[in-house]
Amino acid sequence: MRRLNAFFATITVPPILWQVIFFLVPLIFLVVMTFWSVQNYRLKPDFTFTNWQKVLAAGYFYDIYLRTFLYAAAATVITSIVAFPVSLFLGLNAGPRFRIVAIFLLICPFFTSYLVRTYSWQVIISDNGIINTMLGAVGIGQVAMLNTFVGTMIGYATFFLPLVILLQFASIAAIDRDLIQAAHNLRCGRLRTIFAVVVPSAKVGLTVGAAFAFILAFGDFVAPSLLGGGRSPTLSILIIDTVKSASDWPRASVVAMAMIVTMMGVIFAALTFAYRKPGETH
Amino acid sequence: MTSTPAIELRNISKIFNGTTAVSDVNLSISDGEFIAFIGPSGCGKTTTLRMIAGLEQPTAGEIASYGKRVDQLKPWERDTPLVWQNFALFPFMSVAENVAFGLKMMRLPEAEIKKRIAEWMERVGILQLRDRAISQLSGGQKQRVALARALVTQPRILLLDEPLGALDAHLRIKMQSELKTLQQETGITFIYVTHNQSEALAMANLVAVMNEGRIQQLGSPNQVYRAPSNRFVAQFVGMNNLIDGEVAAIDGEHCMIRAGSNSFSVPAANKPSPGDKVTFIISADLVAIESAEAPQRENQIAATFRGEEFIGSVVTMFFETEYGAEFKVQQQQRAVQKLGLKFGDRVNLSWTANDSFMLL
Ligand SMILES: Nc1ncnc2c1ncn2[C@@H]1O[C@H](COP(=O)(O)OP(=O)(O)OP(=O)(O)O)[C@@H](O)[C@H]1O
Ligand SMILES: [Mg+2]
Repeated sequence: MRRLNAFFATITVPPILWQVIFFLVPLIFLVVMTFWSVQNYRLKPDFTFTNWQKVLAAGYFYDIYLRTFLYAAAATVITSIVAFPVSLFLGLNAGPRFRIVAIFLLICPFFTSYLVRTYSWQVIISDNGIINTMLGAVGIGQVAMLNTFVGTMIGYATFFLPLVILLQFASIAAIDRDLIQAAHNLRCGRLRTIFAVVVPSAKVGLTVGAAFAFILAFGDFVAPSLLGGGRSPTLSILIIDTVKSASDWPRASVVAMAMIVTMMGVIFAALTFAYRKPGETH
Repeated sequence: MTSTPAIELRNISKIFNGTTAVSDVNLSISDGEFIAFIGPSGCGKTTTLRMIAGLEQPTAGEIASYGKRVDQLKPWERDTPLVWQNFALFPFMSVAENVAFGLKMMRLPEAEIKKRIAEWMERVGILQLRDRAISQLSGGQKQRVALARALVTQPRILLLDEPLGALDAHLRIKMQSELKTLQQETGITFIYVTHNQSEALAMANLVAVMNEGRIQQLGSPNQVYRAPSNRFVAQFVGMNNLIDGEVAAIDGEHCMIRAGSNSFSVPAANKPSPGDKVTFIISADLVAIESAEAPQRENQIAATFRGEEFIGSVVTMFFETEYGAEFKVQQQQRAVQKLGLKFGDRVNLSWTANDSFMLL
């Protein structure tokens, strides 16, 4: 028994230690810093509420917060919906060999930097980029994509669409095939089975995929600034501006805290939803 | 009852990339019948059932139900609900939602659905579990949910694939009689797959014994038990001893069969003639044990007691004879105790001529 405890200690302590050192300590430091002040572009340990008051009193903060939230929500819905048919095909219909190739191709994008991939999108979607050149050739006028909402969404998709597909696919592939056949056997047609059986069976994967999409979009700086043009700032852009222009680390920390609290709330809501037992709603 | 068969299989075969699972099966199942398919593992029972449900497409042949071809229909266009061996209940739904599933798919009005699921949950005794999650049910309770889910749509045919396989022995016996009663009360045609022969013999009106994708015998429980139509059925069903011999003489209703150092009188079947190689069987429960002397009469053989096995109050004793090491005799435990045999004891085994049976 003691040996077993020692075994569990050796496998559980390192990750806990890792979490404490690299997540909890910086987080505490972040919280502490929101009460510091800045003098002559220098950080000064302090205990003041001015940072919180200033940020929370600024109208632009709420605009930006709302925009960031809506962008992330839109990216979550769009990528989840775009990913689903692909995941469905890979999880239920594709043969084993096709599947392996597809998984490999979905992992490939992570080999190259997200920043590089985002820059390459600029070439494709800019006003005289590849797409608009082709549209022009068939007589359709320019469609603005770069530096718009569309550009931002393309950036988000570049960032995490493969990840969302992989998460959805993994839970769809794990569905008990008998359940699908049992539904067919009880007069449930193919399309209906997807909503009646596949979606609820894969709920955890679908929700975790959506949660990842939300969190990655909510905290992303690259897509809204490089493809969205940065003219409609998000919270990440706000943080960077606050630090760059005023070296105001404490106020940036307040914004960061708002982001962290939001993301934790979203994760908590997502996991509660994903693991709710049947019958508990009644 | 209608006179057109509930299910008709015409020259049905199923080949899975090279392996033949079902081979040229012809079968007509009347309305209201309780038919059981029995056979060893891999003989094609589940495949046959799944083809009736449309979950597997036959490689060749036709399936008709009440006079209409159904083999081209999609599974959801048929009316043959299946009770799965592993239950296949939807884990993300409550008990009541599981039972309601089929009715929802039929787009019945909400009030009608509520009424019907309450009726069936009551009937199979799970009404108080209606809001439970599937993961909070015992095996027997899951079984009942699976039954209610299939029966609530009021099908004319119910398919059951080893529905009691996952239950313990006590519960299995209890469920057997409940299922039998249910079938009799509803008059629904039950097509029941099991590899448990006592279950099949106890419940069904009609038994189909399958082996290697073919139906070996179709008959009443008594027929397949007492009058197996071939060697496979004789060995698979009941507890039979098989003896190979040669016809020595024919004497009216009986013929004399010579096998090894003994001769046996067996009711003649299929007009044998002297010199024919034949096999006859004697059921283990029809053999008497006598004290050892050299065999004097017909239907009497010398044997050595080698082992025994208890199932309830019935004992199966194994004897070594010149026909093999496992000649089986089945007796009540009380009778066996009176004999007081020890391993290695020598005895004579005998039986009445009319209890033995010649295979065709
Ligand atoms: N989907 C499949 N692909 C390939 N072979 C299959 C498939 N389903 C069944 N078989 C094969 O068909 C044969 C019959 O299988 P089936 O499941 O009908 O047997 P069974 O009589 O139900 O056996 P058990 O009592 O073990 O359930 C077996 O040899 C099996 O390996
Ligand atoms: Mg089977």
